[in-house]
Amino acid sequence: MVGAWRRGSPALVGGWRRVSAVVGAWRRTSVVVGMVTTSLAPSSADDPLAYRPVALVDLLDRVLATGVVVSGDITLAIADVDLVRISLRALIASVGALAPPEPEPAPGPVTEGVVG
Amino acid sequence: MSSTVDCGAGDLVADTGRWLHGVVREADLGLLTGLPGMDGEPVRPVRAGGLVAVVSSVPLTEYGEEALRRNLEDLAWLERAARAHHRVVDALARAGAVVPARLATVHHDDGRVAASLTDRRAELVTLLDRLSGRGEWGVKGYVVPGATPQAEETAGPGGAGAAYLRRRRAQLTAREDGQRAAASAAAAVHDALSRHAVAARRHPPQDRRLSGAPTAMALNGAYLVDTATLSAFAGLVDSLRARHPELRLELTGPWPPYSFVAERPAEPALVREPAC
Repeated sequence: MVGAWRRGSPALVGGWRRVSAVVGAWRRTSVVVGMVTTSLAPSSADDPLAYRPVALVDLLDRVLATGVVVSGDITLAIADVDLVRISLRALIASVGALAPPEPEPAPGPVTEGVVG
Repeated sequence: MSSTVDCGAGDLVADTGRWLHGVVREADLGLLTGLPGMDGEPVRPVRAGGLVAVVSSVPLTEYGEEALRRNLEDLAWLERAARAHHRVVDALARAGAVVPARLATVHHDDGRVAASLTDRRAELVTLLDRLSGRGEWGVKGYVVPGATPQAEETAGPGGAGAAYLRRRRAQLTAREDGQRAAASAAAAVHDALSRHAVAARRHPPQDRRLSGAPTAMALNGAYLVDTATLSAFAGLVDSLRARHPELRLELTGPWPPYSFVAERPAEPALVREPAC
């Protein structure tokens, strides 16, 4: 049976070979991602209502990290054992641990709760 | 309906799963016809408890647990899946309130999807009420190098070695000052935007190697904004841009409310590996 795959699970980040394959994939496509970001930059400030293509990195921020019906770490159908839930968060974050570091601009990530 | 696909060899039988895009109200269904889901297959509704789950049927040979683990590590596959999923969720969001599902929420059959709707009905209805007439907007803040004043190099005793050390120390101090200034500007911008938003949260800053951005990110905020006050929100971003030249602010959206359907925020600290 398929169980929920918890974020940060060793299975997700385990294995240099798998991780470095992903690092390679990210590197190969980073140019593409960069192009999307660049092409987005000029218009995004001007007209917030205009339709624009979505940068992949922004999309992954949302669909992998946040966009779920979760109850704590549990998704919508966690009551069903057959739910398949995958988050690549840990794997993506591990890219940062493997590649040469960049200076951190800000203190660690802060997540804030609902305001109203 | 049948959920079995014969793979031709006879002994290989692959079930199909149900990829969940999101949950909407019964009334929001007009646009489902012709809306392509995963792999271009049309999406369809699964109804229960007065709610509608919008799903794509997917072959478990590609979307089952083991296959997903493999495929999600393939960035091309991941991008295809993320964009297909987002296209559906975005179309639903433009038509009305939607509770988006995280990528790769797959059930074995319609019955399981329906059961999850029934089980979580009260919570889903509350969420849909809360999201009605509101959209998610992203504001990212990138560090602007040199926006904070640099310390003058001071003369002092000692030879070239001592001068180098002083210079190096000054550079490090300037960088730390710049980072502190960017961090505090990011906090101020986030506070100001939060006051204007129904809800707000900060995502971890994006790694530059993934985003391709020329400078580091200090703010990666998401804001749930009433559609009626959207232009005021955009105006606020403009005025914050002028007030904080140490950050380059970028507004993105409207997003489906991906960041505002969790009962409590995710815990990015769990997944941020320290750089080494």
